[in-house]
Amino acid sequence: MTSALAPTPAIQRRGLLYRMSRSKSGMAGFVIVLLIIGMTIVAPLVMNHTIAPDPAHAWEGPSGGHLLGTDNSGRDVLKQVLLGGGTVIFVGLGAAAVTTVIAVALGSLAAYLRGWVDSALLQLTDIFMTIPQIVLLAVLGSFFQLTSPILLALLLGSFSWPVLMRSIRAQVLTLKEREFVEAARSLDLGTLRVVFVEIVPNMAGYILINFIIAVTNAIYALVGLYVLGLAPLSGANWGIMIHQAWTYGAIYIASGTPYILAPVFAIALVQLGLVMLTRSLEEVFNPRLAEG
Amino acid sequence: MATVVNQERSGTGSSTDRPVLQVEDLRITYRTGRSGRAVEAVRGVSFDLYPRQALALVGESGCGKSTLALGLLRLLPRLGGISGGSIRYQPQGGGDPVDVRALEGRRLRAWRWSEVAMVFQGAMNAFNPVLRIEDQFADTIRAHAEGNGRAARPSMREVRERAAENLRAVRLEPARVLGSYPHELSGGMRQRVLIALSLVLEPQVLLMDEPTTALDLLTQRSIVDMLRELREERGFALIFISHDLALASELSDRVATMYAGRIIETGATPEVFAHPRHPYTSGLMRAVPRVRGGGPGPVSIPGSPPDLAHPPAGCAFAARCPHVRDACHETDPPLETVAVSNGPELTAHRAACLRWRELAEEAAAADDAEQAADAGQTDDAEQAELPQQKGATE
Amino acid sequence: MTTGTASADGTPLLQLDAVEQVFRTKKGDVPAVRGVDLHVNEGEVLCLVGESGCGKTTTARIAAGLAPPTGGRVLYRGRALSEMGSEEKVQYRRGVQFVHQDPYASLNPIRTVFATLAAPLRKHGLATSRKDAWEQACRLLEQVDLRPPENFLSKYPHQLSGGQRQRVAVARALTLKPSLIVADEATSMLDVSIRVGLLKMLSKLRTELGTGFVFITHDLAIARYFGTGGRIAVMYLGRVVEHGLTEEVIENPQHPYTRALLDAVPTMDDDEVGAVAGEARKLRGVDIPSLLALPSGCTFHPRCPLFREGLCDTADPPLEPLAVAGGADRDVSCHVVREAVAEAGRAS
Ligand SMILES: Nc1ncnc2c1ncn2[C@@H]1O[C@H](COP(=O)(O)OP(=O)(O)OP(=O)(O)O)[C@@H](O)[C@H]1O
Ligand SMILES: Nc1ncnc2c1ncn2[C@@H]1O[C@H](COP(=O)(O)OP(=O)(O)O)[C@@H](O)[C@H]1O
Ligand code: SF4
Ligand code: SF4
Ligand SMILES: [Mg+2]
Ligand SMILES: [Mg+2]
Repeated sequence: MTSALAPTPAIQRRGLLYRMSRSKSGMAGFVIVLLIIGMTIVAPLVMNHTIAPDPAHAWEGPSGGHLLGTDNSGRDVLKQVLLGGGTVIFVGLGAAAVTTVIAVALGSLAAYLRGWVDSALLQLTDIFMTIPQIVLLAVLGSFFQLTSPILLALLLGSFSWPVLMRSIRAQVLTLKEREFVEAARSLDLGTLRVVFVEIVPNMAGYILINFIIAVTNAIYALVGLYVLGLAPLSGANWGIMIHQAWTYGAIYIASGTPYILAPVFAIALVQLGLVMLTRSLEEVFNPRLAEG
Repeated sequence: MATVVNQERSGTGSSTDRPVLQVEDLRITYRTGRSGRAVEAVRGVSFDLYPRQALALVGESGCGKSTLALGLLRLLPRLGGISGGSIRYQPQGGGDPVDVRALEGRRLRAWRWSEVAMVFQGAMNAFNPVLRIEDQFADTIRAHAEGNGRAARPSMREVRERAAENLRAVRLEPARVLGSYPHELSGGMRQRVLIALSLVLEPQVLLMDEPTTALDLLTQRSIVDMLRELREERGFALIFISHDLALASELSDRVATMYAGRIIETGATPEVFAHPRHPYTSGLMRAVPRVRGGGPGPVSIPGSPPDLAHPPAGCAFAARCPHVRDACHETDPPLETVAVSNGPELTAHRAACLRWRELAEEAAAADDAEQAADAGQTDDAEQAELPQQKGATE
Repeated sequence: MTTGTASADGTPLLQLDAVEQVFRTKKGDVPAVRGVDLHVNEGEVLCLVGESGCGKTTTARIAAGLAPPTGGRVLYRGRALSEMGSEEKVQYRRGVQFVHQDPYASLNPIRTVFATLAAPLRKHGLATSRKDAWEQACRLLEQVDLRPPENFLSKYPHQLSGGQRQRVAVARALTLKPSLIVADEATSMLDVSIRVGLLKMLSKLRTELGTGFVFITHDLAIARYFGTGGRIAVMYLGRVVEHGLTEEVIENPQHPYTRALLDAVPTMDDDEVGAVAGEARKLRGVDIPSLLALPSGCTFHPRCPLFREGLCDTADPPLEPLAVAGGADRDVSCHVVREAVAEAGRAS
């Protein structure tokens, strides 16, 4: 009886950072992610945006002047890496935000209202899940000029929500049976309030973790688009770098190795940081793991 | 082996026995996760448990009842530990007393369950769901046989026989129960299986932590009746933990009230309930509404127990006590004998309150006054009782 | 005797009319409530007692409109819920509030006491500003004896003790000034030392605000204490088996099941310590039959000490008025007791 009485606040508001810091890998992930985001913000402010081509020094290996060598047209690889994270991360965050908002809104309403709303929304997820995303994006890419990062984020985000929507729906189905929800319902607080003020904040941890997972997925999808050349190759970012390095045959040129590996490594580092971060967040939000 | 012990035991059983369990100044400390600060959940508990005795441990939730029981069995969680005092166990077949704190590894496991067994709080919901009841018995019996280094592993037939005997003792049909999975049994049946399971190794001491709290009245009643019979039959000593005073009073011959990690009153059950000497015990008694008869309505105890991370200097109950005086905040009252008239030391009535003598006198005076008042009202009282008697004789 | 009063035309505040609840499960249909008629008048207490699983909670949830019954009707001030328009429904929702058993589950863990109390006040236009809501929340907390209220308003549930949480839950139920509170085992998860305090507070609300109660408990002593002056209904396997004035039923139980329940109550009066009370306690079986395979005739017959073969296992005894000597209205469903009372009546 007592154990059932043990208070298990869904989120311990105080000491979130403290508890996160107890997981070493989580803290490391947090630092990595912070550093990379900081870099993508700071780099464009302190560096010249356009890196002038210098064909005389094409395909140079690492040297004092060019720490990671140069590309096919003699541009500095390190500078490109430092400047090329912005779009990737912005689109990743934006797409994840779009996905999460749609998934939470639709998933919780479907679960709370049930009935025809639920069946209709489930039908919709079925439809979305059967469409091959990458093909659709390719088709859309040929119709629209996907140069705007905002448009990219919207597009990526509005196709990846169904999976998360279903798991949010499952969560809400159990949460809505909780007694405090029933109490809110019998006080006639109104559907929107019960769903978005009483229920959804109780899943904050779960949502945050899934948001981060969505960021990693969006980054992969975006990079995939660039690598396959399905998105316009204007500007410079990690995805475009990989595509260029590949098409100009960097792997066949010994001194071109850094050119292709540097963006791959940058992307891998971001993803690693994010995954490590979710680990420690899981620990923070899961009371049973956090207790020991 | 077990049967020999049993015979020896049933031959004796007078109050001149040596205590089977002697606990002295036991202290148990938990380190709490976040800051690593220490919380002393049991703060110097002493008592002797005699063979065949039933001791009820009562008190509010959080007062340290379960912690004490887990400590006695050396089953504390990782962050808890015994920080002082001693536990001695006297095997009844004769032999030297065992220092329980010094037991380790294999010897500790062999001692647990076969000598002292425990039914945990809420354990009836903690059965392994994929094991049949007979497998649960087999696990217990075999694990112990190995722990004892016995050569022959008991066969399944032997296991079933022993299980059936104990299931019948708790009034369950072995044929139906042995092959069932836990979820196929009701809460009351599971609780009885658990008792049978704890008795299968014929322990001399049985600890039960809130064994009936989650059950309804009728099931609770049948388990209490059954325990009383079993104890007479097999002669084990019982420590019964509960926050239900009335229930404890029916099952036990001795009671100990715990407050903030200490025993603050103990004695023979009828004596303590008739003349509680600690304000907390009388407070607990007054807090329970009565189902029959008039009498004064129940009264709650205001406030809540002290934070054990910072126990107060004087009497731990001072903040809630209606009889508190300045001295109570300074002196920590020791457990004093308040009445010995009722027999040997093992039933001595002891309480830890600085003012027990004054309060006892006040209570006696109030009783007299009440009796005088009652004498004048006998007629009314008799009339009020009439319908009840009619109902009972129908 | 009864503190409650029916409204001028005799319509009860809330009435259950032959309600049934059948849960469809994989193992089969579970008839948790099998035709229950009950009513509560304004300001009255109706206690519902019985073993666990007998359908108390299910009945209460039907009464509070949290689950529609699969059969029968619920009437609020004489109007059936199923026929109500949305305006009436709002009146009913505000008029009947539910207090859950577990104070640890019934408060939203991430909302402060103030947020919990202010939401219904603001939503229903009872408070027009934050300051107004704050003042009203203070008054509500004072009503449930949480003083000084300012200390509690900004706290989260995990910072409160069990008793304090349950008081907050009651305060929340009071926000809409209900005429009926349905309390499901509202004190059973609390320690003895704080239980009485909560019961007293609820009694005070009854007398001061005239709130009616459907009070569910398995503790007969608590039913007696809180239900004084009201009525009690004893449930067994989804039916009411005895119904009458609380004191009379407890002092003079008629149905063998009610008697067994009362005999099972442990007491600590010195003369009764360790005593084994009368024969009625000796039930023939302790196990509650499964709702999936109900016994024939009277569902209590496999356990009943008064069981008479050929009668009890064939015919289902109806719940009908019984003339109990010296008592007021009493409904009992038992063949044998009815016969005995009839005989006693003839003899005298
Ligand atoms: N694992 C633990 N870590 C830290 N403190 C603990 C732990 N277990 C128990 N405590 C504390 O020790 C004290 C005694 O707890 P215990 O569980 O023994 O109480 P109890 O009397 O059995 O209560 P209940 O009647 O609720 O079961 C309480 O203050 C409790 O908070
Ligand atoms: N949602 C449900 N689905 C299936 N069975 C249920 C459900 N809720 C309750 N029951 C069953 O109905 C019976 C009555 O339950 P309940 O009203 O909760 O009893 P009480 O409150 O008296 O303990 C029990 O047998 C219970 O298992
Ligand atoms: S010592 Fe003082 S405070 Fe403690 S119980 Fe006795 S009278 Fe009360
Ligand atoms: S009808 Fe028969 S079985 Fe049922 S309660 Fe009465 S005597 Fe018992
Ligand atoms: Mg305990
Ligand atoms: Mg219930």
